[in-house]
Amino acid sequence: MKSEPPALATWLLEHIRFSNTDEALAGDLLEEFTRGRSAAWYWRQVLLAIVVGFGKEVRIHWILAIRATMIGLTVSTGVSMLLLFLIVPLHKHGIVALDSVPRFVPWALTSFLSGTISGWLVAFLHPNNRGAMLLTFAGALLIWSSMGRGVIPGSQPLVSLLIDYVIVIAGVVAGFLISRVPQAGAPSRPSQSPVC
Amino acid sequence: MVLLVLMRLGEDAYGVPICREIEAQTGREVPVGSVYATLERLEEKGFVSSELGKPTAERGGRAKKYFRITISGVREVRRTQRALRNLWNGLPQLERGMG
Repeated sequence: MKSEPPALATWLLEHIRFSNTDEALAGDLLEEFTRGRSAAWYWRQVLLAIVVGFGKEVRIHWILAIRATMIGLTVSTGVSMLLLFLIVPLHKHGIVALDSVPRFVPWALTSFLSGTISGWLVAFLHPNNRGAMLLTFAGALLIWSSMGRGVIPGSQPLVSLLIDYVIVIAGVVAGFLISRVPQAGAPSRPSQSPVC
Repeated sequence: MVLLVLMRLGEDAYGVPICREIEAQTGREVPVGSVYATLERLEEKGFVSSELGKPTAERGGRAKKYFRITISGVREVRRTQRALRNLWNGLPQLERGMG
């Protein structure tokens, strides 16, 4: 018996679901892995399954994908601006002491929180197509980040951009995870039937 | 190709043997996700039907999904075979062994 397959790949496969065959697919990959396929093969199959499922989902529900992107970007930008408008006056009036923290912390916090709130909202509004809509929004958000954001104080532009990517994606993932927390009295897994 | 593989495998046609058979016949590795996407499309068209098997420990408690070709699927295979045969005929390059 072989060791367990890569945990992160399995997590991705289980959480980014696109159709009702995904469980059978996950079982097939596990079966093949235990019969001697490599971890690299497993990763390749998981990533290809996500790409294929994502492409199919967006092709079918392209209106939802546009809606998710528009809502996500609007909320993300709105939350970023709101937080900055709150932080700056609070700092000026001495309510929040930003001098004692590294300069990039408020900036990173703003990026993370805007990613979390917008990611949660996109996931919440699209329970049947959560994975595809979040991936679409995350892709659009990365492009948006490359174009619209400033440079982290005290760092190189490229490093700044990479850190921004990581923070934004971490925020979206956090929003996704929060959206998956089962509500009291609600079923633990949403229906897989398409809505559009 | 997937329909032909389903016909070859008969009762035991689920993801793993389907992919293995395609690999054996073509010599190329196929992404399991692509095979499932194709099967879903064929099922939507009515060429394939599916049913869930029992979950097994080997698969982490996940069920197999068995696929079977339908009558209209067999009809489609025959239609494609005829079309390919017609395309195949009358190609002088292939008839002279240049292909």
